Amino acid sequence: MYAHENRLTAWHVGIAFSALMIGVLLGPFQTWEHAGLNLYPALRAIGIQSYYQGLTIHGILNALVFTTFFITGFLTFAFTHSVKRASKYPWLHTTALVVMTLGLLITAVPLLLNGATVLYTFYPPMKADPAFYIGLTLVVVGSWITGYGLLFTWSTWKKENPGKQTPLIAFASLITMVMWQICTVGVAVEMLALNIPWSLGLLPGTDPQLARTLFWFTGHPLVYFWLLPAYISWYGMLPKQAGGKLFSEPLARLSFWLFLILSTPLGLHHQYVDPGIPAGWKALHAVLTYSVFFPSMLTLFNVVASLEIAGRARGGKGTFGWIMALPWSEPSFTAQALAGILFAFGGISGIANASYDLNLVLHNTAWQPGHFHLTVGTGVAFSFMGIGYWLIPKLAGKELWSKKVALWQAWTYFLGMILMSNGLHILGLRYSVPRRSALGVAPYGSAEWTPFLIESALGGTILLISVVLLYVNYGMTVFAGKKLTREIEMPVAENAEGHPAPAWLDTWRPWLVGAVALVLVAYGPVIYMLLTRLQLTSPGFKVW
Amino acid sequence: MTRWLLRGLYATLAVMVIGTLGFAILQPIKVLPRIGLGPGIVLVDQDGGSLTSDTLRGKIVLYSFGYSRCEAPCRGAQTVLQEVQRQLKAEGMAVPVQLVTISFDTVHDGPPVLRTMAAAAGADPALWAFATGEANRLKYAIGGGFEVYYGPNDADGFDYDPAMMLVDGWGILRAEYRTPTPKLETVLRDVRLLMEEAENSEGVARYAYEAAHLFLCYP
Amino acid sequence: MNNHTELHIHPIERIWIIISFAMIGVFAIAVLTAGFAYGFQLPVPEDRVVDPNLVATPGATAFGEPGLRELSPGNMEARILAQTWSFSPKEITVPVGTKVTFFVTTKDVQHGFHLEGSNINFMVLPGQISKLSTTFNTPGTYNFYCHEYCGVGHQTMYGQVIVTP
Repeated sequence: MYAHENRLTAWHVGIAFSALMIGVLLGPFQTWEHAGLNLYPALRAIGIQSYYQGLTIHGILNALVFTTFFITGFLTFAFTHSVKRASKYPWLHTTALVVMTLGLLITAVPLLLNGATVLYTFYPPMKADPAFYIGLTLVVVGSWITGYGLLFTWSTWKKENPGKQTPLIAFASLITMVMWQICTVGVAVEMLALNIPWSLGLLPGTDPQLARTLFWFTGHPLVYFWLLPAYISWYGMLPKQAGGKLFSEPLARLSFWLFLILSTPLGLHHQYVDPGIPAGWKALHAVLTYSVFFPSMLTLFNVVASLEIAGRARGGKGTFGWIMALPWSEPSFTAQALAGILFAFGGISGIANASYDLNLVLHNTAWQPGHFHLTVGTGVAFSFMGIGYWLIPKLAGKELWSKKVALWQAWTYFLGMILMSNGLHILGLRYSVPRRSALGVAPYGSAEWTPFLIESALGGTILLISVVLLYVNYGMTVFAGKKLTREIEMPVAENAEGHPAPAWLDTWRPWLVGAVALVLVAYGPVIYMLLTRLQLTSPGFKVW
Repeated sequence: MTRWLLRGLYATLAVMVIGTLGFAILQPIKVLPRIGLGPGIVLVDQDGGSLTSDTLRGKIVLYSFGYSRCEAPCRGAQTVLQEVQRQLKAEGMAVPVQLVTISFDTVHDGPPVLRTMAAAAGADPALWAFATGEANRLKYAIGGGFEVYYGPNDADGFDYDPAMMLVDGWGILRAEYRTPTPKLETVLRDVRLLMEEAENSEGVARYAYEAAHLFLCYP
Repeated sequence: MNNHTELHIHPIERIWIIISFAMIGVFAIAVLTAGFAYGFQLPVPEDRVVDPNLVATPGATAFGEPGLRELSPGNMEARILAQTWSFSPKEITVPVGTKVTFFVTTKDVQHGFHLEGSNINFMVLPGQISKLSTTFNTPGTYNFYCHEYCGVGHQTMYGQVIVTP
């Protein structure tokens, strides 16, 4: 069924995990360098010129390429199998894949030739090769096209199924894509109006403060674009995988709507310490950032309650006994459950970052990589790995090579990430250690940091072992696996309580209007102010 | 029922968006930022009278700095002040404005010297005062308060960063001109904006002014 | 069509929602009170916009000759110019109890500024001047780091405040 969609998804997911493989292999080198074992001279042999080129590749491939390709692929798959209808315009999805892949190849050239060592935030006036900006823009445009494809299919499905409520997974996939469409306006404007013409020499200079503001307009909702597909799996699939039902489908829908509304108008919390943004707007975005904590709290309750239903259905007793009864022998479940546990701690460190004034102690310290390795590095990427444990066998038509290896992978990832992120959090909070710095050769290093640098290097090493296990398993499954004896179906959780979602949770217009209105209110005056004070005075520098 | 609820929601959102963007873009009221509380000042003017933050309360005060033997760096401010004085006298003032030129040279520039400076600048004593004070207090007020650096140099004069400061009737610093060549139009515009604000921000209009501060309707 | 309007919420979940709202409210009130009522400083625009290409020229701006100056007794101003990959001045010495206001800008790419163990933490952007003050009450040596990636020499970019008894 849906052979075209499945094949496209296989390409998306395949490219995603290939990018991730290169990206994550470069990760441990950073932690080793911090701990005093500098292997970068050896990496020169394969063309990695510096710590920072390695870091740029690590960030771009993991946080931008892996996530975007996996999400477009996974959502295409999930949407199709949720509404049980083939794409209205299959060629649109093919186009999307071609555009994204082309973008990736164009980006890869300067990235690998050390022509774009600007990290994944590419803050101007550090000036990368134009191909870098053009390629990334194409990746985003391709992901939009995937979204359009889903919307077309959905509107046809609606006509074919009058009066029927869109299934949760399809509904949430659409919301994710629409949210992405709204929030990427910022980075699209940054690329098309500033970075691309400026890097091509058509603009004499750029405005770093405006560029940063446009970047973070997209940069924070970007994390929800990463996160919502994981939530789709946690809400819509994980309860079924665990042998239970979704505790409350109406509230799951409500939390997706809230993410649509609240994801974008809060990006200034990345700019609390920017000199060009007024305090009042920073404070407004602080409050809005707290409010997006609410749908995550709803999710926490709903997902845990669903798992409790599953645990009790499997015979678990007592207040906590149901936890042990969950299917911990299933790697897909285990990976996602462990990802969820660490993600909760990432959420807590995120609350500290969001706190207007606490952020002064933490901004751009090692706390930050500690935080986002728990959120995107674990909550998202680890969940995607877990999804891969059923999705890749499904797409390849092969049995998973080894459940045992997969379970080892999950537990080593969990352990490695605890060690690494714990070390980074402490270094940032207690010692103000800067992030994104080759600490091993920094003249300001202190002996007090050493135990925590070693802790995080140990975590990095365990993570390396974990991803080696992951790729051996995926590789053996795809290339040497036994043929599937039984077709794998996408797990779809039922609504436990049987209360259908009210009609207002299935109406798009008010939520969309609300989302756009809130963005205009929260960002309009700030961007207008920056435009009236536009200073295109920074010429561009290549400093690597 | 639902339909009316929805209409109400859309109307509220429209008012929010149009109100916010309209205020920020059209800037129906322009205000100067409230930079911070101005310093407490205790000075002696050219007639030996005392000039303090208390006596200046209720007046818009434009401070400039210099000393009697100062040449080039002090001239920029002086020409601007002469023109401000001329235009304010010609227009009349709805709210009293005071120009104050403070000399750092507390030893040399006593009231007689200040009188000569005032006469040379063509200052109207009703509008423009020349003053100095006790050395230590002056350093706290100008250096610590206005954050304008000055200090004795090797040539027996003073090094200083040319600056002018605009303080409103509540003693709040509203504009800084940290340049040797302040622009007359900017200074006059700012003085007029403060006069308007002091005159108009009463009753309901007060909230409009507060909104202007909130939405940064700065010129 | 589904005409159902009521959202069913489980009683325990209702309690959870109330707790979540209360937490958000308490957090928001706490940070806003700390931020505004207690005068926490964040760097904000002061209209001190400069041309990054000219900022380092002596005489053009106060950053032409960066350094430490006494504004009034116990109150100093440190004008620090950031560039790839150094701060100038790299070291400043102040007596204990001094209030120091840091003014920092850059003449090239973006940099950062974080004085270890303090709330002095801001971005340094071309064209903008960042400003924050602190009072040094304990003698010692405090590092300040560039905390934004600024090129291959980023890790060497730091400076020190030496507080003498």
